[in-house]
Amino acid sequence: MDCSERRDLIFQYAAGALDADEQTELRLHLAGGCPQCAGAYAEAEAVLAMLPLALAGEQPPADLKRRILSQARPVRTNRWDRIVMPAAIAAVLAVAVTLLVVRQLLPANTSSTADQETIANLEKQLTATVTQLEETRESLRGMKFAQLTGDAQPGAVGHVFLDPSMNKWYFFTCGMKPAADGKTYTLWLICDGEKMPAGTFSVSQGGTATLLGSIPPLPPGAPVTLAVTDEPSGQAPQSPTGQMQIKGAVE
Amino acid sequence: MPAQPDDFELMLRIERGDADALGTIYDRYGGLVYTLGVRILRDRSEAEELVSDVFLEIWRRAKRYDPARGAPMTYLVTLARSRAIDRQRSASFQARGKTSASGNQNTASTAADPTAIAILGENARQVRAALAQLDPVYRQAVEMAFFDGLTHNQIAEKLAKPLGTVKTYIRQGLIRLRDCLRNE
Repeated sequence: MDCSERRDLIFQYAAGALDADEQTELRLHLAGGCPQCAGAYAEAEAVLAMLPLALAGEQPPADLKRRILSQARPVRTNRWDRIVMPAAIAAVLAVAVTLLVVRQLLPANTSSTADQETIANLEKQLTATVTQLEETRESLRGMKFAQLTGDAQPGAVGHVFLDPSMNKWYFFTCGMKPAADGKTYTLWLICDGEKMPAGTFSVSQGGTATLLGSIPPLPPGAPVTLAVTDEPSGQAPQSPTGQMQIKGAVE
Repeated sequence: MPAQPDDFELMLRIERGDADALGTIYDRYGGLVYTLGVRILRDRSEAEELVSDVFLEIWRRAKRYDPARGAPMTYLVTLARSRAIDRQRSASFQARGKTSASGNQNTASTAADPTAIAILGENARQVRAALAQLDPVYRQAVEMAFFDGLTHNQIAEKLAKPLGTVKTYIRQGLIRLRDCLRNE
């Protein structure tokens, strides 16, 4: 199908009247950013959006506005979104691209039941992954985040996510150099002047590491900082003695 | 009297967390979304839930609106129609056997925005005039696609017409409607 043929179908696509395979073909094409088809689609949507104006007007209940506004609480977004959402979006794209490839590999007018089932399953996966994306976005609300960097490790960055609802924190880092011989990295949680060891770790050959732990009792509202130092291996330090590697405050 | 903010400005303010802007958008389009909901869902209580879902989605996911893709009214109606058809197709809706307009009759009016009433009233006149110029069978096919969420195949079956004929009805119907609206 070329763009001229697609634009012939654009009104039916906007109205949702196409059959599933044509609907998918157009959806993926529009997702690819074709400006001409996007313009035709916007025009079709605008025409269709006028149709309800021809209906006899119904009046919603008088208190519906008040009920809606009472639920319109401030929406808070944080840096979690910027870190985790790309991965969730990538998952959606992976399914969409698979669907596109399958569609292109199949004959144009396939009537095979197995092929149709494959497409239907991919469509379902795409819908489910998009739903997961939305759920991920919702679940991120309330999370706290810290980004750790430091002069001693100019190529390294660490991320700490704190989930107060589950009382858990999760740390991962990338780009860190391996600790010097006889040294191990230690993560510290610092609050109200108290430095609490949160775990030790070594980095992989690729410079990555992860740690997971429980959030200790903390004074409400007190600022929290996280830091990584290098400490003598085989010891369990109760306060930092080594060099600061990366550090960051919880937002 | 101070100038009323346009819909684009209101959407921008909603994105910034301005609940008053959400109230103004509701004043302008709450009735339209409710009317569309009653038409698709044929049930006033379902339509009421739809309106609530749509406006709260606008509030919570305001960043999704892209002004380059169309006017806020287009976005609202497209979103409302999509959510209404999802609701109509849901298993719980089907199980309740909602097949005709029913539920609480409520004739009370919201405090609708007077500027919006004038603009929407003029637009409604244009759309009705454009639809009146369509061949009735084209109009029926377009309405079955838009309001009932039916595909070409389903419409062909209901109208007992060949698939190709139904495709022509819908396509030509919508193109003529567009042309009529352009000329109005």
